[in-house]
Amino acid sequence: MREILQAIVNGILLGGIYSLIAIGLSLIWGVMRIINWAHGAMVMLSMYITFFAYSMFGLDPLIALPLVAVIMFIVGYILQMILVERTLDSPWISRLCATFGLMMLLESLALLFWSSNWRAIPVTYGTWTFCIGGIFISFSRLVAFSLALLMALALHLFLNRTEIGKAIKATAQDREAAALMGINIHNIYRITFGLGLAATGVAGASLMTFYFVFPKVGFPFALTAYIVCVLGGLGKLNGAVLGGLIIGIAQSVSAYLISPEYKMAVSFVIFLAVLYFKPGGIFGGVTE
Amino acid sequence: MQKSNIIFQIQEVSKSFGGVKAVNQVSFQAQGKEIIGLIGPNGAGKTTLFNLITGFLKPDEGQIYFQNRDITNLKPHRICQLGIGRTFQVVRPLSTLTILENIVTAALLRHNNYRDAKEYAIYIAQVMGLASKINKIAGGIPVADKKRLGFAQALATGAKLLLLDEVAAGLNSTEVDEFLNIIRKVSLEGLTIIMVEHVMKAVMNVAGRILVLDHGELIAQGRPEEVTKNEKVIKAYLGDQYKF
Amino acid sequence: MKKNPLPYNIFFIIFSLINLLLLPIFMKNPYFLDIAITVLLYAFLGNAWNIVGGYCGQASLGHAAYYGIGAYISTILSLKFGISPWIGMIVGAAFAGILAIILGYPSLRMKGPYFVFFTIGFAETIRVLFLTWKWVEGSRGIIIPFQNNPVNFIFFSKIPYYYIILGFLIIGMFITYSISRSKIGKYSIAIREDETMAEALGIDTALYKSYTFAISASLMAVGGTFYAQYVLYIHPNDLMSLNNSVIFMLIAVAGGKGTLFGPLIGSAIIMPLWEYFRATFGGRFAGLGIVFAGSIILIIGTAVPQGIMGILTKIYAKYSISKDNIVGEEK
Repeated sequence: MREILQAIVNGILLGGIYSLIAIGLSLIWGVMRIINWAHGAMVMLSMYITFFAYSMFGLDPLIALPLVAVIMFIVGYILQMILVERTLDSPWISRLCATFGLMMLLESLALLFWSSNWRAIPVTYGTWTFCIGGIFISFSRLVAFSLALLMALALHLFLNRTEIGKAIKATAQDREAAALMGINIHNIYRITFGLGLAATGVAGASLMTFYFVFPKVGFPFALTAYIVCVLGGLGKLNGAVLGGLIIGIAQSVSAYLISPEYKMAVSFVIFLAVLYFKPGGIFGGVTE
Repeated sequence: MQKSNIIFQIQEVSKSFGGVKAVNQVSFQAQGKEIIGLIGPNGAGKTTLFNLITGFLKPDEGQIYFQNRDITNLKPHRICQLGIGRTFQVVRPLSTLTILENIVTAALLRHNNYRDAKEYAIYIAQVMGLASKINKIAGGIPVADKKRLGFAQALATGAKLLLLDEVAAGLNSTEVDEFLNIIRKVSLEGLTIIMVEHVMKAVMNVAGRILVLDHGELIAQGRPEEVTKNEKVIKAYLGDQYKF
Repeated sequence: MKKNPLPYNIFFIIFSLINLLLLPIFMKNPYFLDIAITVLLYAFLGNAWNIVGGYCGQASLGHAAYYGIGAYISTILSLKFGISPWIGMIVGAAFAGILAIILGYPSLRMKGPYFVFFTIGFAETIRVLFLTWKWVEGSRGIIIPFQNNPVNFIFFSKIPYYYIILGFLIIGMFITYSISRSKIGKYSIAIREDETMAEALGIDTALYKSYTFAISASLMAVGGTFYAQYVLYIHPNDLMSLNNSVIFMLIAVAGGKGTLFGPLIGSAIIMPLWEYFRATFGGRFAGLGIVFAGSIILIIGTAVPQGIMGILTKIYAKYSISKDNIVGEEK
């Protein structure tokens, strides 16, 4: 019994990070109707940036985190500007190719420059663990989880309380109407993409407090993020949060009950079930 | 009235979207060779009604019959196979294909053989006045031709009942008259036509019967002269700039 | 605007065919022959993907699963039950086709990215399944013993393999050609262009998507068997990887998806370059091949979605008169 509770707790903690990654993906989709196939690679990129912030400047990941978020925002803004923007009026296969190609490029460049060796950061608090009622909670994971939720909250507030945020929401609802109201759509798109990647930046930096990075680390995170987005409803951010926690728990519990290799299979079954019975996801997001 | 030849019946069909009744207990019938005009202010539910009839939407309640067959819950392709064809308000040709290929695709429903389908498609193209343009890419032709193409495709599927959604919109006077002639001709050959229209001149001149929809309800039914004098109808249009 | 397709000039085709048939006579070096075989194999696989991805517009990124299933079925049948891989190949193709229909069914209603997610997840699940399945040796892979015998679909020299895959490719392209001129092909194209309109024209989109999927999957499985018999070692990660699925799509898209010769052109250009990178830069520089592929996808995606066939068609259009076109090409 205790082991299952432990699995659930671990699942929740990891799920928070899934939520954050998924929020970025969902946001980009909701506003621009683009699936960023390079999203996982962006997580990988932020993890490497965090690592090098440590190896070159001795920065602890939690200290480097805001910096990484900002860097990823800028990266997103620029990528949208020079690359993704060009494909907005092309058939969807162009967008698929563009972001997928980006992913392949990033992963292979990472392999080229940084080799396939695993890199981790030995943080001082790496072994700190709380024990509450027999359940062990790793400090790093707890912090990562909290940061993920904080970022989600920050995004929520940003989207709902600031002018730019509201402009983003307006664009997501009706691109033409927003343009008619004087909103600079292209700028909104760039900001949105930047925000989506900033979220991966926070997720990546948080991950480096207890995980390790290698060129293909992004792939399973990306796959999980897609599943979370569908589960929560593409475009629905609260759905992404809930979905992330659910998938996190599902993966963790199934890894414990069946075997770790099957956790993707379980996630995939959930994915299929959602698509079959409630294609709009838990919160009935945009299905087109 | 002549002997009853009812080929289409819709009974108390309703459809709601999030609490708003887009179509409310609509009932009417159509006989073979009739040309029926379906008019009403914007948002009255006309296109929703078409979508319900052609299977793109499922009614919340009510029944739809075509040639004595219950088609209420059938899928769109099945309904087309049974003989109901439609055009779309916003024309949607298969844009990277030529006009001919567009019509051939439609004709393949009744002609399994590519060559037969092509022959039939050329014939339909001639009827619609598209014969000289059959090799043009459908994406680059003018709107009037796109509308002709949509009509041609619906015809080519061997439809017995044709649902035309604002076929006259965006066309000039000559083009509208050409369309009306085709409609009359096609009706004489045995097709039943229900046409949604905003261009009053078009529908009043060709339809034998008019149905008026307002806020999802059928508020009037009758010959064009009767309907234009109907108080409820005039009221429904008050504030719109449609002139009779 | 009129349509100006490339004339599938019969003389040009015969000329190329003769060249291809005579190639092994002039190219004795087994290394280059191997590259030629790889080009033809991937052209065959790209062509299979093209049927469902290019003509029908369903961008599946999970096709590698059928590739692997084909390889595994023929291998298992041959090693554990003594059935000739030729027969195993047919069984694998049939099985893949049926699987595509059954598993494809839930995906028929999925649109856009959902469908792509599904195919990726599906292939990944199958890959993991095979990795952990003891009976098929899972993570160790299967080595096929070298019993040099045509009945066993194993040959000492590369030359028979070359002609076999060339034959498969010709058959595969012929199948694509026939489909494109048939009802299935025209309906698939309609589905690709506008699914709603296709339904309104009486097309049972679910049925026709299933048809194309089944054909496509069967061909992939055949390719899988060939690969198994050529390389004599199969492993889930080599066969059923997302990388492979992407390559199949890349070859078809780069060459020109929805065209008959697109996959062949795409493979002829990409595979030798890929091999060059792989051979010249080993180890961590193997990544360079993927950098290259990634760049190509990027460029094509953003600048030239119609692929090389599209470019050629445009160039040709400037110098010729229009004809009645043969296949429904994507612009």
